[in-house]
Amino acid sequence: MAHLSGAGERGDRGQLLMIAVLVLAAAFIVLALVINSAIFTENLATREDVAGSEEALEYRADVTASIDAAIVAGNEDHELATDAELEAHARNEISTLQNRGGLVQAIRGGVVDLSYDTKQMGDRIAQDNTSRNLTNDTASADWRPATGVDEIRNVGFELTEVDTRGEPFRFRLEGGDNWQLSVSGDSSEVAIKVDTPTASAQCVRDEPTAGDPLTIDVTGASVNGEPCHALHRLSNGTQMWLGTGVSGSFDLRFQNSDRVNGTYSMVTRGGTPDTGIESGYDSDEPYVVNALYSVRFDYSYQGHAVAYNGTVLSAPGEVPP
Amino acid sequence: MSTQTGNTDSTGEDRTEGGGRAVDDRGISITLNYVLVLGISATLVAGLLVAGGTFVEDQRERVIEDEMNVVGNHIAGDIEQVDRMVQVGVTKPDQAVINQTFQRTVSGTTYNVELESSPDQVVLTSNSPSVTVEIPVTVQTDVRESFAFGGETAVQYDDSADALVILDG
Repeated sequence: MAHLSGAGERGDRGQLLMIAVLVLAAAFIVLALVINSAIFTENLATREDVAGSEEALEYRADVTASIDAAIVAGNEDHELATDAELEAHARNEISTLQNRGGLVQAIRGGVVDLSYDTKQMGDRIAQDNTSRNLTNDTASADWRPATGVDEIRNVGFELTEVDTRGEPFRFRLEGGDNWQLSVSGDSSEVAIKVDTPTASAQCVRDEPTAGDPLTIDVTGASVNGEPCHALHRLSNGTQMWLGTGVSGSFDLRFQNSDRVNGTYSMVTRGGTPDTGIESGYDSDEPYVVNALYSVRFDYSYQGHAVAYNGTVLSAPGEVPP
Repeated sequence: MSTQTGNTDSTGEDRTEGGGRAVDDRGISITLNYVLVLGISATLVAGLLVAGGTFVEDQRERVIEDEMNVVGNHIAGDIEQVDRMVQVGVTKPDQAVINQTFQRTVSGTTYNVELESSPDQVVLTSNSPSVTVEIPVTVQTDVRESFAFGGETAVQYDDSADALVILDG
């Protein structure tokens, strides 16, 4: 037995086991590295997107909202009457945002650059007298605030009284095809009905009372601050918003405008305003004044990993094309 | 009571005629025993090594796939974010770029990133072992087929081609 368990055989067996152990140890080391990779993968999966990738668009939206508000305020400011004054107002707002926003973004690690590019002028047709009906200066109940209009935005009505007897008040866009909003109702409720060339829908609200007017934001698709699907999109996806189905230039038309009292405002581009309304601000009668229709400005965001540079259009209250 | 005939040992083997052969037989038996033990041990160890090696390799492939899945989803997110930058305005941007740095290797192997169209997807392929991961992307802007090495990638809008591309960062 002694010669069979000599040093040679023991050595061979030891080598076999040693090799096996070393190979297995190497396999376990590789396994440890693989587990390490798996742990790193879990860590990577929980990381957020590239810093600044969302901020570039968020700040763009903030800037656009600020300039939208400045354009609306400028158009409603009766002191700003000429194109040059309105343009200077928009330029100043952009310059202010450039100075203030640039500092904020620099602190956060990105650099923002804003610069005025160009503008489109238009007309603002409005009435500010809450107790007057919506006829023109010559008391025509069926009249056209403007004809040959190319674009329209920011349309809103604030009706203090709605006469629900007889034919309803209608606001129409008349091109080859027509888009129509009508306000009708019974003793307690008012229906805001929208007809496009292919569909119709309505929203129903309580009749306006003293101190509680019926506010219809046509381009914002809301009535009394609540969303109105008939002014935006139906549940089946059918588009209903202002001007749906109307192509090319169109006329604006009020029908039965003596049945409602209140105020309205809209901004148009192109076209000719009705001669039966005041040119220049008037607190009692409907009027037309110069207005900024849209402003384009260059927006640039440069972060350590994000670069975004483009032209932004600010046209508050414009519906999708 | 048995009677021993001749010179026999307690096992009953004849030591007179086959004594030498008997010793050789025992030797062969022990050698055979040794060979069998060694063979079985080697087989078991070899099986253990093969199973262990296969297990480790399988785990590695799974981890590579998971890792490329995560990296691919990050890149897909970058592509969709650049698409939003392109689509957000009425005019296309002059520049829209997102750079992101990932690890150059996944579980010890390098990998490539391809942007494919029809369907729009990001395809990541590791080199050794070869593992492929496809991540679909949903974009409104066209996608141009392009390629980058894994590591630093740049997703950008190519305004001349009006399409999204991926490049080395």
